[in-house]
This record gives sequence, C-alpha cells and structure tokens, in this order.
Amino acid sequence: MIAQRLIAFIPIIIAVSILIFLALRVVPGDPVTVLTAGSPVPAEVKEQLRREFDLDKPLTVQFWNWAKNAVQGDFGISLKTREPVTELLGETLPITLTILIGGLILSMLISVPLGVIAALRQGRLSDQLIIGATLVTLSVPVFTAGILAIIVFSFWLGWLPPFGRGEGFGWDRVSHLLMPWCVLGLAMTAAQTNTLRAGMIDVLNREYILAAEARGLSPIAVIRHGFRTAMVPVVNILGVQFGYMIVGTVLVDFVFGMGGIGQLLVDAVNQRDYPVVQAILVCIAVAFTATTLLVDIVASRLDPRYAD
Amino acid sequence: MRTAAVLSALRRDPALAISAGLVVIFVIIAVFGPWIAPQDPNQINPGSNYLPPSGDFWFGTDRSGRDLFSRLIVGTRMALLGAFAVVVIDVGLGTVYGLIAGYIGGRVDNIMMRIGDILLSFPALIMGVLFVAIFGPGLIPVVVGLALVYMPTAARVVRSQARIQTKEQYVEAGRLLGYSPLRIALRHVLPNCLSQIIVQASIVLAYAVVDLAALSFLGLGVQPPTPDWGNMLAEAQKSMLLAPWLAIFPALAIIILVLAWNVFGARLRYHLDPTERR
Repeated sequence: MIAQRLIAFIPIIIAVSILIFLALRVVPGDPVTVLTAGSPVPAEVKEQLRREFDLDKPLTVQFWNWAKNAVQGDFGISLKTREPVTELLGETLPITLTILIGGLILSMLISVPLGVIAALRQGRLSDQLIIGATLVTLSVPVFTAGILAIIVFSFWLGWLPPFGRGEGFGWDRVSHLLMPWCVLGLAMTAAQTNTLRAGMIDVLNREYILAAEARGLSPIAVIRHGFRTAMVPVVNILGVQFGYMIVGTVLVDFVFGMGGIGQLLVDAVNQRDYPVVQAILVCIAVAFTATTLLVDIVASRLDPRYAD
Repeated sequence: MRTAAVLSALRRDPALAISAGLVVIFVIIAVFGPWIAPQDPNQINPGSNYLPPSGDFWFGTDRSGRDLFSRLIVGTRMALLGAFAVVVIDVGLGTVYGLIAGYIGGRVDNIMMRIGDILLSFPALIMGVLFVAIFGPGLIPVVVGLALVYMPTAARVVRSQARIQTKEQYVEAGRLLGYSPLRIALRHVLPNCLSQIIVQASIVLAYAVVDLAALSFLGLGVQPPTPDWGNMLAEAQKSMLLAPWLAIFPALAIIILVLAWNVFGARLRYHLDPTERR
C-alpha cells in the first residue's frame, strides 16, 4: 500500500513542477527586462544574459536543466539579487519552520486536552463552550488575529515586540516568536479539537471500551485505550491542515515581519523574480503532497484497518 | 409549506436567526453600499487625516483623511462579490466536471480525478499567488486561482453522488426509455446532488472570503485605492501605533462576516442534513 502511494506521488510531483514551470513561462514580458530593470542595454549584453539564464534554449531543455539541478538542490539564481535561490531559501526557511513547528506543537497542546474533555462531557456546558470557542477561532483569519495581537500586546500592553525575528536563543528570540506561535497555533486548534472530539465520542461508544469500563478500569486507562484510535482522524486532519499551516505561516511571517519564506515569496511575486517564485511554489507543493502521503502512512500504522 | 418550515426553523433556532440576519445585512450593505455610505470612499478631506472615531467620522479617518466608515461599507461589496464569484465558478465547474467523470466512469473518470489531485496539491492561497505571478495582481486572477483550487473538492462530491445515482434503477429506466445521457445527468442525477452542492458552496464561501482578504492584505488582490477590507488592513498596518482604529475596524468586519457565515452554514447543514444531528 505504501509502495503504491509512493508510485502515485512521483508523477504528481513531476506534473506539478511542469505546471508551475510552464505557468511562469507564459507570463507576459521577458525575464531579461526584469534583469535589466527596463533600462536600455546593448544587444550583446541581452544575448549574454539569455545564455546565462538558459533562455536561448527550447522550453523542454530549460525544464530538464532546471529539474536536473533542482533535484541536486540548486534552484538557479535570483533575477533581482543575483544570489543563488538555494541560499535565499537557506536564510528564510529556518525561521519559517520554527514558526510552523512551534505553532503545530502549541495547537496540539491545546486541542488534545480540549478534544478529550469535550468528548467526555458531551452535550454538557463545558462541551458546548469548547465547541463555541472553536467556531470563533475558526472565524478569525490569522492575519487579522496577528494584527489585533500586535495592537493589544505590543502597543497597548507593551509586553512583546511587534516585529522582527529576534536574536540568539534566549528570551529575545522567544519574545519575538510568542505571538506568531500563538496566532498560528490557535488558528489550527479548532479543526483538531473538533476532529478529536468526534473521534473520541465514536470510540467511547465501542464495545471494547464499554468492556474495559465494565471490568472496572480507571477512567484514565479507558481514555488511553480509546485515544490511539481517536488519534487516526486527527492525524488525517493534520494532513489536510498542512496546507492551511503553510498559508498561515506565510501570512504570519508577513504580519510580524519575520523575514521568512512568506515575505520572500510575496516580494519575489511583486518583483517578478521567477526563479525564486518557482522554487518556493515547487517546494510548497512537494512538501504539501509529501505530507499527505506521510499522513496516510502514519494513519495506517495507528489503525491497520485504515490501510485499505 | 417550505416557507413555513424555514420560518419555524428560524424561530426555534436563535443562532440560525441571528447569523442569517447578519448575513442579510452584509448582503444589503454590499448591494447598496455606495448609497448607504455617508461619504465618497475616496474623498480626501484635507486636514482631517488620522482622526480618531468621532461624530463626524464614526470609525475615524485614514492617512489622506478618507472616511473609514464609508470605505468599509463600500469595501463590503468587494469582499462578497469576490467570494460569490469564487463559489459560482467553483461550483459550476466542479458540478460539470464531477457529473462527466461520475457519469462516464472508467478510464475517463480516473484521468479526470488524477488531474484534480494535481490541482489539490496547492494550498488555495498559494494557487492565488501563482495566478498573480502569471497575470499580475488584481481581483480576477485571484478569484480564478482560488476557484480552480476548490473545484476538485466540489467535483469529488458531485462525482461520488453521480456514481451512486447512475447505479439506481430510475437512471437505468431512463436509459432504457432512450433518454440522452445529458437529459439523465441534468434532470435526474443533478437534482439528487443538489443538497450536497449547497453544503459544499456554503463551506467554500467562508474560505473564499478569508483567502481573498488575505491576498489583498499581501498586496496581490484588490489594489488600492479601491476600498477592500484586506488592502485597508495592509495600509493600516503601517500606522498601527498612530491610528489603531484603522486596523481594528476592518479586522472586526472580516471576523464578524466570517463568523456569521460559519454559524449560518453550520446551522444550515444541521437543518438540511439529518445525519448531522447527534
């Protein structure tokens, strides 16, 4: 089953790469004009630039060269800064991953207890409050939450710095990351809580749990019994959510001026810096598809019945 | 009779009634915005820049002294128009796509669903960014990009219904009577997918509002000076310390619209789909 999924994964990656490559080539306007910032340059210089960026070759050759280098980790050169794209990614990716992983951990820390409590107290006040709260967090987009958080916690209360990524590994760094983590984490909590709650309710009504309860197992032990099965849908929703996580990280990065992938992408789109746009979009699509695959594998390990 | 059922649902379900009321108000503002707004949204009031909320300017004024309240009201139209456009394109394409794949089945179905998988390998907002990279910033590329990314989900819903329906006896009967595939698909299969299409559309609308605002916020969607909640928020971010109201009111507008729609959608699904009642 895993092998099957892996085989299905590769053509999708190739198709997506070709799609992005072609899409960015139908763009009106010549990359050389971006390179020269529109100023008039001699024909020889243009010719030399074309050769340097492979633009004199047919599309198929261009794509093949790009793909060959990309697999080896070389995404070409930025049209704007002339820096290798891989270097730009290396500068921005760590901060983006820090935001993403921190937000993910935080959301799990919040949603797992909430989901279990809501399921155990199904239909009662605490359950309804939790459901209501998730509906509210679901309705607050990350960028609005980020801006409101900056106004409240940076400008009114003066607790946390509003922008930047901070320095070192101490409080300075954490204080800069705290709001991005919370904003992203809270945005992801709702779907996880609801899924875990539904999964738990489903599991708690199964016969083996009722049998465990009848045998006199403590409530904690019963929850442990059910938790593993109830986590399957949560792992699944994490896969679906990964897309929102990437988007959320892009937006959070932009709101808090962290200088991550998000800012790099938006700047590159505005400056028509295609090699950078192409590299980031392909990386996101690959990461997104790979996560979906990984999630399927983890889910089938947690619950073998899921494999078919 | 249907009207009576709707009225009684509204009376028994206050959450539905309140959220439906808010949605109606937003739609009215979107349609009649320019007539409701006290000022022209782009009218510059010299000497009145960065005024806090007051009797003259309910929500304050921005950098060029434009009335924020008027800009928010007129901006409602962009938020809803864009999202409705996404839903119409998404559901329209998705329905046709799903009906064809589901009705024909076999290899065609397989290939069509694989193409859908490729589109699904982009998070929605990222597809919006790609379309902006190709066609330049603006509402139309962003709307088309989002609609394309949501399309496979709608197509899947319709397709799976169509697969089930085509095995039903009434479809078989229609076929024996010599009805054309088009007639069977439109007259018999489609009506049975309708409630699921509505549910799908209600989910996509909320996503679309958020994604469109986000893209405008990133400077890739609706361009200033056209008032739009997303680009107003982006501009407000530059002067948050000086004039926080410029950020707070657009942010609240987005949150209230999305919350109202989410509650409305959740209650609507509850009333439309008996299996959701637990």
